[in-house]
Amino acid sequence: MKGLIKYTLSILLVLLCTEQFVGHHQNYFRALSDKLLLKLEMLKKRENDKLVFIGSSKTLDAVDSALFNDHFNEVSDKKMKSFNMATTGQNYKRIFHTIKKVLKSQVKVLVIETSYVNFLDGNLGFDESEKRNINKSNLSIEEDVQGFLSRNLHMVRLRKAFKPKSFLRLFMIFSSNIFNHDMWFRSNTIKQIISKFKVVQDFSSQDLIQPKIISSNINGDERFRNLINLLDTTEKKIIFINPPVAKEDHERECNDENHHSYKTLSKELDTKVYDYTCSAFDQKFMRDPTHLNSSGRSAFTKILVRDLQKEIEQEI
Amino acid sequence: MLFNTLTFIIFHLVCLFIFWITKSLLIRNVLLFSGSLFFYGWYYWPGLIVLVLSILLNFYFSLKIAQTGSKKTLSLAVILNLTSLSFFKYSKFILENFLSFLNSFGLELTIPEYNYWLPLGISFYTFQVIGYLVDIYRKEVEVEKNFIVFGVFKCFYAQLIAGPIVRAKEFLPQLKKVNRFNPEKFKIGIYYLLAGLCIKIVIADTVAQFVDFGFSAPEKLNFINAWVTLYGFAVQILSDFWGYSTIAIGIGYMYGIDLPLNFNNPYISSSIREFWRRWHITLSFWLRDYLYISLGGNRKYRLRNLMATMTLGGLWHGASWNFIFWGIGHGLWLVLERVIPFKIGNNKFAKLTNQLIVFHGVCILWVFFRANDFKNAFDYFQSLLGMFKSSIKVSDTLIFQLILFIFFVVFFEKSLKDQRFLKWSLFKQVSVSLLFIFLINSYANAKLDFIYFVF
Repeated sequence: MKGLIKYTLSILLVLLCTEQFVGHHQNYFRALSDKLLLKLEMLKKRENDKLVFIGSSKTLDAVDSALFNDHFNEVSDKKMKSFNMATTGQNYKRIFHTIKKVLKSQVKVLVIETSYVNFLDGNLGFDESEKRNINKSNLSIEEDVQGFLSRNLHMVRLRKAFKPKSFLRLFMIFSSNIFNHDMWFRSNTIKQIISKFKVVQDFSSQDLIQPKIISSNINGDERFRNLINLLDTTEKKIIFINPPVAKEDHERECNDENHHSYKTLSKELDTKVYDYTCSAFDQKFMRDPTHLNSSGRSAFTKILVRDLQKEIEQEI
Repeated sequence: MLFNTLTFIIFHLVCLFIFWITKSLLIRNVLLFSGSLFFYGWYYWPGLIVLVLSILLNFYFSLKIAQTGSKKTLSLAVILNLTSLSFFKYSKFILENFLSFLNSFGLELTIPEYNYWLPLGISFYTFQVIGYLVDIYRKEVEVEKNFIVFGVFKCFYAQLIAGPIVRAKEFLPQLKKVNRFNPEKFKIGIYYLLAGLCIKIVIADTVAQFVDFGFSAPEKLNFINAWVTLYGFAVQILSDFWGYSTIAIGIGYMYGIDLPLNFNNPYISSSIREFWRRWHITLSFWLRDYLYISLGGNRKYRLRNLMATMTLGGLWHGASWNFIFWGIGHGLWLVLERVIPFKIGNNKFAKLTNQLIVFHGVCILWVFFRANDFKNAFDYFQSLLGMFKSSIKVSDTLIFQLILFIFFVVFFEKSLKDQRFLKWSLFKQVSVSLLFIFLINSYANAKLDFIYFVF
């Protein structure tokens, strides 16, 4: 009988302690519920980050921060430490929330993806009421995102906190300064862990593609008003990029309407937009019409260093 | 009531509490009987009417058979049981096929639409009681004259819905003595319950989502995807049923009742015969003792008997030509194995080769089992041959779940066959139990029914 009592009490005791532990470390456990929160938590842990990339899966697949650091350090005498905060399944609200949080961090340069799906088309993942909220005020966007994230909190505590994936995520938070985090967030994670990252050797970044650099003073679109208001107050360096796409996506990405909006951004924030969607990017670098594959990532990361080096050097 | 719900846990704890605070055998059996009816009715109360009628009818027939020893009475009872099973389970299938047959002569008959309803676990409790009636007729077991005890035998909630199919001579004596509370048995019952829930929730339910996707659109699967999804189904169906049986055994232990082992690592079998000795053991033995032997067994028309048994065994699993084909496939394989004994050798490599052949053969036959219809099965076979091009990559999660299953089998399978859990240190007992609780807790968002409920 003693054995049964000890067994039962031990289990109950551990469960109670666990519940207490989770309750006292809500930040970490919250971060397990959402990729965006996870990256924000990782950013807190990472010290000395100078540059972050913010965007969707397009940027996630287009930039390898470890490789970016290497290439940058090869061509510059300044030490680079960057962090790719882009995640899959992003939309305007979530990117807005990310930017707001990153602006409070030690980061000096924000490279923000401005692409069709994330900025110009507010419909992605939004229903009508959400779209109306976007147009109301900054606060309502923030409230919406916070509401969404907190709605998942009880789920996290009850169910997700002890998933194997969650342990992996906790590991990622605590090791975010050591490992290249990028590999965890892309498909084929297992393959990436066991295989060495391939650096594209036989390619000249100078010849491959050139960005359409937009900097203009044309008055324009109101769709970026919230974002502009937010970014206008910061001293940090803001650069906008739009990573390359395959031929199928050219028309959607590289058009007058988009460029008109980019001009607004450029003018209001006194910055540049590097739009790579108008150049022909070889099909062998694409995983699908929107996302780069590992070779493309390697190639494009090098291109970014080529194009952004001077701008960044002044800030870090 | 489903085992993987909080409602069940509360119900079970209340029943356990009342069971162990009383020492009256009558109260305990009344509790188990009424509790089982409540458990059954909770899910869908009309099913209770069929169950109660079946209990009353079979109690009467069991007494009559014991009294008269009449083969006619036994036949009548078996026919009535099978008629009830056929009405609920096969009437639609029979009607559809009969009308299709008539339509092939130029008639234009339409299949009437009606609400299809299958009482839960009817296949299990029907087979169990038929076995009991035959045992009484064969004088292998004493007839149970206590209606309450008979009722518990017929519908004990631990194994009512998906087995294991218990034998009266093993089960009834356990209901006729006042068990003293055995803490060790209770503890191992908790372990079985947690392990069973873990197998069901963590592995079966998760893998099911990938399998459902794969079988709903085989044309989207390339060669590798199709095979991995099929392995997924092999794991899913084993985990689902193994999980349920383990829970059932655990619940039994908590009441001090022993239920038979139903699975014994079937995918390591070196022959299809061995597979059926390890897979759904209580059903296999039931088919052998009450169908195969009744048809003549090994005495005459051995191969015909084998084919008939497996075909009917296939039909037992579901009212569809797919299941019949699945049964025929297994029957043919068993016949072939007997006619042409095939063994590569006796060394370890040969054994492994045999195991791989048997596993893949079983997997291929699972396609009939899982596919929605013949077209779906045919499409799936095409995807297995790599006839569809697809860029969809194999999911990391699916691979992870399959690895988790192997991990589970390697580390815990043996502890679910014997009492070795009790020999572990308290630390290990608690750690493993907590691991199961955490896994159950974190995966508990899928509320899929146990697959075998439809059988």
